[in-house]
Amino acid sequence: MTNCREHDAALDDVAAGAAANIDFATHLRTCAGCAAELERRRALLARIDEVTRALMNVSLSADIVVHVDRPQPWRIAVVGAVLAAALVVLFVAGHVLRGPVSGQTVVTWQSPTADLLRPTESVLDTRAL
Amino acid sequence: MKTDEHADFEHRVQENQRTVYRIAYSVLRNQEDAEDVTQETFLRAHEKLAALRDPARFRTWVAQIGRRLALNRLRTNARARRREQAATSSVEPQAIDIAGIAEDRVFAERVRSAIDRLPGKLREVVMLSAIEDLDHADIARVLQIPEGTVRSRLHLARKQLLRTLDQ
Repeated sequence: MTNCREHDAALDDVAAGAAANIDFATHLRTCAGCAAELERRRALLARIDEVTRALMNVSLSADIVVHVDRPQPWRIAVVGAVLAAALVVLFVAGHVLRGPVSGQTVVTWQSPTADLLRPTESVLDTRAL
Repeated sequence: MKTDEHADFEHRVQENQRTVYRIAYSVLRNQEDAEDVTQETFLRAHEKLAALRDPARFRTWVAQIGRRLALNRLRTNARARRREQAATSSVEPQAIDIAGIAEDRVFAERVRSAIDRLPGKLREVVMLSAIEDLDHADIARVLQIPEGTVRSRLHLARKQLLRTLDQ
């Protein structure tokens, strides 16, 4: 018959859920003291587990609120209108404020010579004099 | 985001907020910080929702985000660090409820103290396994370790608690 002291470590192992080996299982069947000790340790561990669960039984003070913007149809319309208006303003402002760019032809200058030199019907006919 | 998708996300937040909160609490040991992290977790999740390939993994995914954010906060927030240290020697208001549930205020405080004194890896597994919604497979995914490692750490931790509290 084995000594009870030899099984002390096995008592903790089995109390914590491990399977008893053949030697210890045989001892348990014949030793009421060790069987009672095993039950005591199991009960203690169950109490520890219960307190641990209670320790983790914390709850949120309030539900988490999902702060995510939903795309609202009216919001899309308003944003679209504002963007369109902004584009129009930018387009107009660009044309009004933008001066002539150097190198760009603003007016084509033509010499008046050609028009002035072209004979017209109102030219005085000297032969009639 | 389409309205259906938004409603679906809101539903997922409702379903998983408590789990994420408790995971954050297990790391931070402070309810206010855990709430902040929970809020931040779902905002991050919303931003990165497209990166989630398997919608069925949403819970594990947000749990991982929550744990990572909680760890970041723990590392960078000196105030949280002081609170964690203070938690080993003081009883927070929540402990009153714990005592009520355990029917033994002194015993509850001893358990809390014993958990605090566990090595970090063992403490983490003990606290996560106490969250009712998480099984070993969930914990393994959250901690990104094999499920067998979760079991062995939990076994070691419970034995250590048993020895500490059986004195």
